[in-house]
Amino acid sequence: MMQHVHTDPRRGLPTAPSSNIRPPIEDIKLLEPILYTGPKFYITVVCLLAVIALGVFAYMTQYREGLGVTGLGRPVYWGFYITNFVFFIGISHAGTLISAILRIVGAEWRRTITRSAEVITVMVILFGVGNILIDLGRPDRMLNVVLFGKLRSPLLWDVCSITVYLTMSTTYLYLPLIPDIAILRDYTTKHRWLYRMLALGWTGTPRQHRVLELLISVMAIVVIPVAVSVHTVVSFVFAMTIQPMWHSAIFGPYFVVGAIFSGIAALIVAMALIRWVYDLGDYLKDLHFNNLSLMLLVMCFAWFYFTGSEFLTTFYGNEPAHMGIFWMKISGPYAPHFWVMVATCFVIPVAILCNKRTRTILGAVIASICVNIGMYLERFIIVVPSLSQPRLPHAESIPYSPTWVEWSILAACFAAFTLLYVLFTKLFPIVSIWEVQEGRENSIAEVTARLKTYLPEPYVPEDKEQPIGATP
Amino acid sequence: MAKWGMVIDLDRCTACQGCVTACQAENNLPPTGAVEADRGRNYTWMEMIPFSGEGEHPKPIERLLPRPCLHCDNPPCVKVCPVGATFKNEEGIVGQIFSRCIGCRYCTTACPYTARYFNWSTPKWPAPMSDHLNPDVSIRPKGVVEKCTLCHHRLQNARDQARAENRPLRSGEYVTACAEACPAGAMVFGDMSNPESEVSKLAHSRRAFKLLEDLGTDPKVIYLREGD
Amino acid sequence: MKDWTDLNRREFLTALGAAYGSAAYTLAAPQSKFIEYTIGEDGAPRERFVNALCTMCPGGCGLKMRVVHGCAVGVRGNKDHPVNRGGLCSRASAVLQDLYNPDRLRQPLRCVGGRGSGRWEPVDWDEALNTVADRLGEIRRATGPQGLCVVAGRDRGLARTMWRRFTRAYGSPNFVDAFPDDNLDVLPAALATHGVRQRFGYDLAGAGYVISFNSAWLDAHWSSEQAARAFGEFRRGRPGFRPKWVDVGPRHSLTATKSDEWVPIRPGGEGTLALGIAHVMLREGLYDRDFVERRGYGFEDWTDSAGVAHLGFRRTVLRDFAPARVQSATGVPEGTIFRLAREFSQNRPAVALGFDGGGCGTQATYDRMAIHCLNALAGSIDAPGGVTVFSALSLLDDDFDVDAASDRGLVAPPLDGPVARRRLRHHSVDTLADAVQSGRPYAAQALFLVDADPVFAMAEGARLGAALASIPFVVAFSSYHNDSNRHADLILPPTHGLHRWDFNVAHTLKGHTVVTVSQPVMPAPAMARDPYDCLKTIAGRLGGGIERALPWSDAEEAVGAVCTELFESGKGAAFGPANEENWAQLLESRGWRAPFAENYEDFKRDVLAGGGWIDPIYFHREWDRVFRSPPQRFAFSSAYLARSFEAFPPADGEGDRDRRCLPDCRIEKPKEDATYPLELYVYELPNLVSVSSPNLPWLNDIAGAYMFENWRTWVEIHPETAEHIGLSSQDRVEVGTPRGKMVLPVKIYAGLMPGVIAIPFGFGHKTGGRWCAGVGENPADLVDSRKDPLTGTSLWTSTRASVRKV
Repeated sequence: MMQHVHTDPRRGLPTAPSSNIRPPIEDIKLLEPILYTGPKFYITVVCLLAVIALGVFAYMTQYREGLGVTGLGRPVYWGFYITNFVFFIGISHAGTLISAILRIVGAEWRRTITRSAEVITVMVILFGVGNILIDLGRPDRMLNVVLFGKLRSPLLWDVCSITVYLTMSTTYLYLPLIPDIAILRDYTTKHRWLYRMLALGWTGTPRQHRVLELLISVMAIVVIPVAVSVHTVVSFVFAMTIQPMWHSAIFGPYFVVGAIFSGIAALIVAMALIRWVYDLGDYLKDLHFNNLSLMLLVMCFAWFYFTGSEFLTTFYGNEPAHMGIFWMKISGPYAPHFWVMVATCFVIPVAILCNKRTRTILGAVIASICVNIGMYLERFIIVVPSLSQPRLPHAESIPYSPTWVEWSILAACFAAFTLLYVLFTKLFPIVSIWEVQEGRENSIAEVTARLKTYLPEPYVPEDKEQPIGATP
Repeated sequence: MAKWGMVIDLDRCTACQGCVTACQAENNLPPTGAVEADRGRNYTWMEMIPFSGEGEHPKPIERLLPRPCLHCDNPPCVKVCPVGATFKNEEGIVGQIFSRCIGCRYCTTACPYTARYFNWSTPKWPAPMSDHLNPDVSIRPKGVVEKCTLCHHRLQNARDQARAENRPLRSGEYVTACAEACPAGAMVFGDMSNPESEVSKLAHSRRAFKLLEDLGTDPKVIYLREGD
Repeated sequence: MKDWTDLNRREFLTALGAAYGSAAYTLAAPQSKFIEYTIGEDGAPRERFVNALCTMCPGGCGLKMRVVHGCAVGVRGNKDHPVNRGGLCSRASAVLQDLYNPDRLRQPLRCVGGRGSGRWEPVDWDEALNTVADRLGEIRRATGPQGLCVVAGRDRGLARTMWRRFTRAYGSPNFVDAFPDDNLDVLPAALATHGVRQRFGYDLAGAGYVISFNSAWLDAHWSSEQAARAFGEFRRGRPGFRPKWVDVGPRHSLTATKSDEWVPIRPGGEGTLALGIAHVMLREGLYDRDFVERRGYGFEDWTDSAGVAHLGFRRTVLRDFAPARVQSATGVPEGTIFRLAREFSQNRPAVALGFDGGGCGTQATYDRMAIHCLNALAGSIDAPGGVTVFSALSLLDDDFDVDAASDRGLVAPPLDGPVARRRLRHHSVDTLADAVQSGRPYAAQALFLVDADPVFAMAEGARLGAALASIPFVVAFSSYHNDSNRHADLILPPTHGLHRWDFNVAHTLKGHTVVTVSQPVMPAPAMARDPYDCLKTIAGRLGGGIERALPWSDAEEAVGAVCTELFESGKGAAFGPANEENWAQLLESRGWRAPFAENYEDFKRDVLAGGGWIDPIYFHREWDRVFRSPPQRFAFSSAYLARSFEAFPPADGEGDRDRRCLPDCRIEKPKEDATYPLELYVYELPNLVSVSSPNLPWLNDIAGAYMFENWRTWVEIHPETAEHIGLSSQDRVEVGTPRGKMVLPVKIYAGLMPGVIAIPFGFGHKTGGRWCAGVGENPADLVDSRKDPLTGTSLWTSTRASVRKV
């Protein structure tokens, strides 16, 4: 198949109607997923749909029977769904935040990875929000949040903050997509109505470019505090209560760090998959993985620092209610979760990523998968142990363990996320074409110029004839 | 404005749990079975909580404490409700609007006393058990949070009675089911704002304490400890 | 019957719920809703309160049932009722769940597919009753009336009275009590010490010190309401004075939890400890000399008129029960015994509880006697703040003539007991199995289970269940399926107590006699039949003297006869707000004339309106009431037992008869036993032991709540024992005794004597409703019961046991 593409690279590309938009001949590889669809795609979609169908069935069961079909009870009122919510919102920090930071600092290696990062954000927020809705006892009364919303509740803060974040992330994904959509409009034949509509009449004039660049840079700046706020507010859902090991001032930054941590890990995994499936080794190079791995390594230490402070503070303070939870995590029923988390979030990734020889793409992917497992466990042992040992003594009931309904819905969330991601890659280039083009055309010169500004002017002797050190 | 509250004298209390079933009967709490109990899904708005002993010479069970909703003056549950389904009224009663609750269970996790209950499924009363339902108290659908209402319907009934007879509410006319049932006379219910009432006198007794007082929730259900 | 349909009712609830919700939020009461709802269209109130008798236990509390639209929807306590004064225990509130229980049997059932198969088909009432009557007639003609045995469960009031009358008129001496929650095992000890056949009251509200010998006062009192109220008064009824409560027992029970001190003791050692305390009191002269000298019998050694020297209480106790010996037998430190004795005698009025406590038949008669002797030594017998002895009141007495056939049957020896039982006029179901199995002294032809479940509730239960198979005709008159009536041919379910006229004789702890009169709260369901009507139908078919024994046309008329008897007694009055203390003053001021109703109609109206009748007069130290058989004194050495030994000589010959008339408490040091190294102690769960309770989910829910347990049976193991065996609280173990094996979850519990394991009794019904059958295990199947040497009753204490991790 690949062979076939190489023999006829221009198949399916009509002639360009407007001259400002350059045909993506150099980057024709990026259009392949959009232009060609093979059986593997359909197999993947069918598999994902099957898992999603199971999740839908599970949810229908839950909707009909009530939350009794889950493993929840008193006192563990929150379980998998809230864990999923926190986890997915955390992953969502992959995209927008990382991409925005890289744009602002003008890291040129960002050009091929920003899009795939931003897509993760938008897709995954939907599942974060979705899990909150799944967790509701009365989803039919969802609109009460609007009708009777009480702003003193951290859940309302979440609603506001996530809504803003979702809007901004979508915009932030969309803006840099416009020139690429115009390329698709102009040089492909599929779904032209869609591309025509989404391209918003982009013709690639210098003015349009100026406006777009401006908007993107404004968005990049604005979206950072919003992204930080989102995860801070998610942590506030826990930290604002007075429950032991939730009521902690460190939770805001702790959650943000955890979010970026798991976000980078998710991005690495996604990029590796794209690279493997669409054979984009030319675009997603070792360098990208190396850079992201280093970022992940930094976040490993940051995460370790926050986790350490959190547990040390609790331990040193030695308040009975907090210590009950503390020991549950360290040596009690949640010790397996805790120690696996420490291993997967810190020990394994650090071991892999510190060593230049193991910091390969494979190494990065293994580390990232570990980090994601660990971060899920982290969310889980934040949510569940604090609830399972409330301040007042309580009857020993069966410890919380999720039922098939919760597992199915979790699986369906991952499947649906993957499906949406795959569909996105089938509709839009997953690596920004115009930014790559722009990089090739302008940036090398720009960077050379900029680099020059970083460096001091070279010393130029006045008298070129006079050798250095010679006395006049 | 009255401030309703209760004093529970643990020295009188015999842990007979008369209050527990009195509450269940009064407030239409559904019957559950072994499976639900194992999952912590039984409904006991009033619950007998054993505290195991600590210290050098512990008693195997240090204290048995009947725990209704404590109707905190600074309720952690009210703050977190995103839709205002739980609220504190001017008379200090922390209520729950079953028809508005969206079932997010934020209040249940925020309550440090685990005094809130969630309807995991539609409550069932196998026929003819539904005949004993108290018509003054609504039955809760699945998916909403419920809790002790301080038998608020009794206050409404007493008020209406008083209004119909064109007189103010008399003291002692409004009593919760638990306090009314208590055989040992351990529960005294009344208006905390009236310094002459028995309940407010007892609340200022030397033996008075509040459950988890250091949390600052300021409960209006006050306990009197055992001993002199 | 109901003037709205179920649908309307549900709609109404929903509407009201919505109204409540919104009203609660706006803080405005929905008055129109309320008025609409309480007043019917005709202007008459739709809500009313009806006096009733609580049917959940034998305590005899008065209820005010809230009836709305013809349906009982709420329970309140009757505030004028002297027994509960408006209070409700957990069982009382659950009466609604009993009344409307989906597992209640509502029509007669006939066993199909062989007895014990558990398959039933409904039959017509008339057919069922005719079957019973015809069969009874046949038995009476063929083998004599003594072949009938009636096992009466908890039902007291009218139904029980009528069953007694019926059984006597039929001519059977076999009317056997099987009260799991009434603890009638106390009666022999009362006969031995006071010559009365009744329980005692304990006026704790006035007591200055309580030592409770495994009394289960708060766990399993026969009137839990009164026990709780008395406890509250004892604790805080007297401002500035808070007396001490010491609990002695092998297990840290609910009572121990609420006490100031818990003294752990080996199972069965309570009487020995009591005598150890008596020893110290005697040695240090700390007892009430005046009472002992003037009202005691057999305290010092004495010589009878025939010149025979007898051993007295003092010498025996001083000789045999030195604290050091008591310590080695019971495990209670010597120092504690001295301290308890001194505290007990210095804080009068002091009360020793345990005489009528224990639950699960834990105390031997001699132990009860020993405990009660402490009350005598402290001078607390019939003193304010001490032990009270009610005056007996029997209503609708069976003083009627019986025919010749019945006369012959009545003199036959009762089936339920050997000589030892007859000696103390004690009936108990737990030796019935022997007689039935052996067919001696004669074969039982028919057995009626009246609201009883002895197969579940007895240590010999499994054996009795097997024995039932050999009885040709078994009929159960009970409201639920249970372990006993699965062996029946027929089940005839009575209507719920709240559907019928009834009365009940009870006593307050202060010694007042109370009669509760109960009227139907709501009409019975169409299928149900009043038990009196059933019995009358059977008696009518049998005819003759049997028919004449039940002369009243229906239950209402019988209750009317009770009112007549009360009216004619010329004492007491209907319940009113006045309490008993004021009554005495009132009577004094009126020259001892009660403000009595003018005529019978007024009297009956007042009694029905108030809920019952009370004799409010009780004067302390009316000795002829307190000690009713010669020598009219407190028996440290029991003259009653001495006489009974004359009449029914002990099987093992003479022995030391003097010793046998004294509280002969013996507890040996445990022998080393490699197979069964531990002692099993079975205790009763609060609230759960009665015929209907285990079918009520609310009660199942709370039964183990004070241990954080519910809906299962567990085994409590001391931390030391657990460590020794290597057990944790997540484990399951197999508990083995010589009687059987059982796998149970472990509960590590420090509230035990080391070396003792404890299993709660209450769960473990094999047959029953959806909330009852198959929940937990029944430890009765493990109990290797000792026999009370005096009565032959099973004692559940100290079965040797082993524990193995599975």
